Amino acid sequence: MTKKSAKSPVDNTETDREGNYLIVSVNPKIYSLDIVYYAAYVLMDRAYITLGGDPGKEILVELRPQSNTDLETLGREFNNELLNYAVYMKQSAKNQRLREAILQRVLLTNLAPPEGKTDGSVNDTKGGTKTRGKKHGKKIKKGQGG
Amino acid sequence: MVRKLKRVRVDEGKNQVTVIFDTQFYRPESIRLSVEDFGNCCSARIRSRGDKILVTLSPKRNDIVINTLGYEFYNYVLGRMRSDGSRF
Repeated sequence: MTKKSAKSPVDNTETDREGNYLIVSVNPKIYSLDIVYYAAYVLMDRAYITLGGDPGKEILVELRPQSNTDLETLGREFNNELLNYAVYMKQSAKNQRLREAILQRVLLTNLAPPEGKTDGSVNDTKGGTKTRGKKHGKKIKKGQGG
Repeated sequence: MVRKLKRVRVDEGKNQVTVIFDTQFYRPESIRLSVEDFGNCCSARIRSRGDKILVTLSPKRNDIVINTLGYEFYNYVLGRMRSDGSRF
């Protein structure tokens, strides 16, 4: 049997130098299929990418460089992109509640009535009426109507 | 021995290439639309076999390299899936 490949120092890849391709094995419990797609998309301009395997057990990604890219480098870059998007998605999930809270706050603020149109008068228990805050720039004394 | 996905089969004698898609990873609608997009440069035949879709492409022009056509089509379908927003 012709020896075509060398075991890569990166454990999840198998390299066939004669065929000029490598297979990256991805554990779907660590990196979901969506993350694999994102990583594949990043490398699409430099490699021909084929997906296979079992989405529940082991995803196989075949990478064939389009130019003179080193196979091992390509494999390492793919692994980097997997990690990159995994972190991004985790952070995105963490920040989701915060984003929703900010959006809610912004929308509620926009629905608040314009200034000057609310009646701030309250009944004073001593008989007069008292208006909160300033009116026409002057402080209202107790007992004065508003 | 290194595994091989064997998804692209080139027949230089017939000047055609057969590309096999696993529907667990590739959306059939994206494959169909990609075949339409390639209509200007290739004639195509689509068949399904279980959870696999087979697309046989025959170039209409002499400047198309048969050995890379299948892989180019694979990448095109992947890009199409992204732009269709089907998975990612």
